[in-house]
Amino acid sequence: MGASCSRSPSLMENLPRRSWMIDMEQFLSSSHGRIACSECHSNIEEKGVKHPDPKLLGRTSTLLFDYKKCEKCHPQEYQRYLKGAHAKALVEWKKNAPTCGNCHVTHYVLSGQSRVELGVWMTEMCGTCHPGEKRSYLENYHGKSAALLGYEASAYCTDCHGAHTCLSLKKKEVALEACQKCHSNAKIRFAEFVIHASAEGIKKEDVEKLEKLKVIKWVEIGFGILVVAVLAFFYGHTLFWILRKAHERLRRD
Amino acid sequence: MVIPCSGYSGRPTSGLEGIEVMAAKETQVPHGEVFWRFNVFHRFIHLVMMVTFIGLALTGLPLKYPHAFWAKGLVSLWGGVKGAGILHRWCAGITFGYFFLHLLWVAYYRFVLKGSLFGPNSLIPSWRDLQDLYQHILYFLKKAPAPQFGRFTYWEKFDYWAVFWGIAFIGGSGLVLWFPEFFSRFLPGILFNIAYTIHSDEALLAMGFVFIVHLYNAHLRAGVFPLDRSIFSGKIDAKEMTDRHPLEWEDLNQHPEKKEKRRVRKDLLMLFLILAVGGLTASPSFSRGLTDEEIMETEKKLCWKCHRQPNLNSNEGIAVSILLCMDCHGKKDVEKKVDGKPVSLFIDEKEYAKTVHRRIACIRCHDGIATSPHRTTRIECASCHGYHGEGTAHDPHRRVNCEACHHESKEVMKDPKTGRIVLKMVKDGVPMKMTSHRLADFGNKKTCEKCHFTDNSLGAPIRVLPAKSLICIGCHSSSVTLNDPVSIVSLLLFIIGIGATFVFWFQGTVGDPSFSGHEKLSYIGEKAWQVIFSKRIFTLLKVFVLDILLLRRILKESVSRWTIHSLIYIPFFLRFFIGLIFLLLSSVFPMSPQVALLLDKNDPFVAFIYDLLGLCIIIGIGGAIMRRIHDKPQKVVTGGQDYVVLGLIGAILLTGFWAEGMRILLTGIPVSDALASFMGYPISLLLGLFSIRWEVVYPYGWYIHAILTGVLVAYLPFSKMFHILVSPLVLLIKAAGGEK
Repeated sequence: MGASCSRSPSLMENLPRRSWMIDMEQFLSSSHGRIACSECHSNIEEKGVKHPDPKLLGRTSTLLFDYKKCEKCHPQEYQRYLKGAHAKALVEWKKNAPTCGNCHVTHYVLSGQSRVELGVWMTEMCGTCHPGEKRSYLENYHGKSAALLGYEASAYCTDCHGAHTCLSLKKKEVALEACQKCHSNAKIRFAEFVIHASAEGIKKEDVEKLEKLKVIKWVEIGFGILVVAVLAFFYGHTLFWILRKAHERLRRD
Repeated sequence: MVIPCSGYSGRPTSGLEGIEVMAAKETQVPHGEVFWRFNVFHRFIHLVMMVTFIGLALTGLPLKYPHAFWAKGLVSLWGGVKGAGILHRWCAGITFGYFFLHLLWVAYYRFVLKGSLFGPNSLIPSWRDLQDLYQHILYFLKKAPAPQFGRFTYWEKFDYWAVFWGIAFIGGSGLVLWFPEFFSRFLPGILFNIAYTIHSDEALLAMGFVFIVHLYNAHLRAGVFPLDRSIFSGKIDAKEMTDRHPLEWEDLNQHPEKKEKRRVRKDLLMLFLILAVGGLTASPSFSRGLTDEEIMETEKKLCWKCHRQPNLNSNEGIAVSILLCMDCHGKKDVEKKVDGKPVSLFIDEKEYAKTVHRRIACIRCHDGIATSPHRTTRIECASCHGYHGEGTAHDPHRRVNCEACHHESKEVMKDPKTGRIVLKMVKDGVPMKMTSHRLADFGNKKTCEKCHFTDNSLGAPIRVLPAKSLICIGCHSSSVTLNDPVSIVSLLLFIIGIGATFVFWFQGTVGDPSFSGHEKLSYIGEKAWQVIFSKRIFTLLKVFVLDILLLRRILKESVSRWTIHSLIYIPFFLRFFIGLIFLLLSSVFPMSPQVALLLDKNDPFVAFIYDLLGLCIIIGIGGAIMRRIHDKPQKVVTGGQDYVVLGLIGAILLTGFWAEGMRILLTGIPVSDALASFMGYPISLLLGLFSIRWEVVYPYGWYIHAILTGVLVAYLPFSKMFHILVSPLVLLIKAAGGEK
């Protein structure tokens, strides 16, 4: 929940042709391909509203596009967004807060994508602003199986954080509800599992999580040493054995 | 604690071995002598461990390294992450199984056999092992001669303990990850993070160790390369022992008793086959997830309340729900009538796909339509649900429509046109269908009593009969159930009889008169292992086909005896075989209408085959009785008992045909269908001549047939008929032992 998305340069780079130019072929085959421009961009035709200055090119389009227009066709999604954490940022960051267009490539959005396709795309998209979370998700069972191996029964970002709501799951009680979507028998301790086991972007006030991460780190270090030590010893053992036997054989011949 | 690999122990019996001992003592030159190193139990566990370990590695690795180029390919080999997960858990379950078995063996060895856990044969690490390791390292560096090892070298002990703790750690953490909901009840959630780390790291350690260090140390090292056979054959010869375990060889030479115990002797082979009855699950029946109240709350109800709702927020869900509607509305002839005029309800799928709404589920807008009853009569139960197997409904119910039982309406009738049992409720000239969803409560027998009551006009038997159970499996494609007292009692007696016989046999001499219980078991296991993993398995297969299936021995003896034997036994075998295949098919493909047809005894093919085979048995029984009365050959000596058994089988067959005749008569199947039952149909015509209420007689006839079968099953282990099971076994054992 860290950096402001609008300031993140990688978002621009990651998306296909995110510029003021509209690729008509791609647009026409997209989900919105049969909707007139004015359906969404009607404010441009309204009296007193000027067409955006082309000099603003290079700034994110969401600054200019009124996300409230989406409500017309996507009321459910809009309402969910208003309830969520991204909408709360609207108050805090004003125009820098992520709105619909920050996550959705509105002009080229494809319909009929499978859950796995959407999930993989979603992992990248959320990861542009939450890189630490993306990394730790992909080290977790959920991320490995869902995003990397294409197991659709496993969880993608929105399966826990909610589609369009983007809830924070720091509170155990809130997290438990998300867990119970799949693990219906889960009890409160279940939600103590650290899914995003990475200190990246964690605030210092979050003592509990930092403590947990410390424990996890020590276990990782301990077992890492065990693995390396045992393998190193026995690989050396085997190597020296082979060398000695080779030496013996060569001497004999 | 641990691991006495005491090996299978044979003891000297004849003078011959004594001479061998003396010869060995004289020369001390090890040649030709073979000793036991691993007993059959340890070899078995090693083999299972090998297979499951590789299985665990191949199914687990893609999840550990999902970025690797091979990860997706490997995971698709197991049918995706889900398949890999299932296989991984199966392998894990087997691993826990052998781990537990091994602990049991250690306890048995220590407390029952009073074996020692220490000493030269122990796997417990000692000070000496550290010294050996030190000296071995010095030897690598050319600073000392190679150390002399005992029965188990230090690296072998490390291998053993690595697996022991590996299973404890990887298995323990794996269990936590397998059942997170359960473990999180009393352990903190951070445990999953720890278990995840342990499972992943330890597994890497195990693979890195086993596939390189263990493989080299045990098999690939100079002097052993390419394979140390002892873990598979159990044996080590004297040459190998002097090379690899010189201290053990010395120890054996100092203790001739021990040496004799470890020596591989050549015995007559004896072998027991263990028959495992697979747990075949009965085929699933109609789902009954709802209570009556729920269903009858309102007649008109949203489908999604009971049926799985497609997620209309997902693309798949939308596609599925559109497909569902298009199933009917995509056809051109769908129409409804408004004021007597037809109005088309056809939606052109291609045209629809061009509209803006193509990605919106139909029921998003037509939200009232997904209710029951939908305005249609097209939808049949079997388009969603599976078919009943024998365990739920008997063959006569093949001619009963679903709604006749499942609809709460009380009255049923026989459709005069089709002869099927349907609901009497008729709406607009069309009988009520299941889509009205007023389901009956199956908690009591009331639904059955719609037809099965005294003085019913449908020809249904007046009593509800149990499903064909396990004891019927010899002749019918029955269910794997035991619900009625006749089946339970007779099968219990059968099992007691078999068990008692085997226990009695087991008390006799197996291998050596001095063997204790576990030695006999280990002896039998040893012999079985040797036969299964040798070319002799092909001889066994040959014996199975020629001597057991085709009764070659009896043919050599007498053609008439062979004919009679075959006429009785081969039809039984074939009916059993056919029934078993149908049962398997119905378990694997419960939704298939083709398989459902095979289970129908009125299906011409099945009806003809079953009647023909039944007739063969009757002819065979007749022949056997005639032969006993007229010819009285010397071979026939067990007169009285034979007549009992022949009479029983004959009676079962006759009552069977009688019941078939009554069934055909009562269910009133069309002549064209019934003709294939060339025995049952004439009998039904004959029965029809008598003005007897056969629906009253039928349950009694059925029960007589069932009880006679139960008596035969229970009598089998105590009679001459036991040869059905024993003769093949003896033939196989003899063949395994190399006897002709």
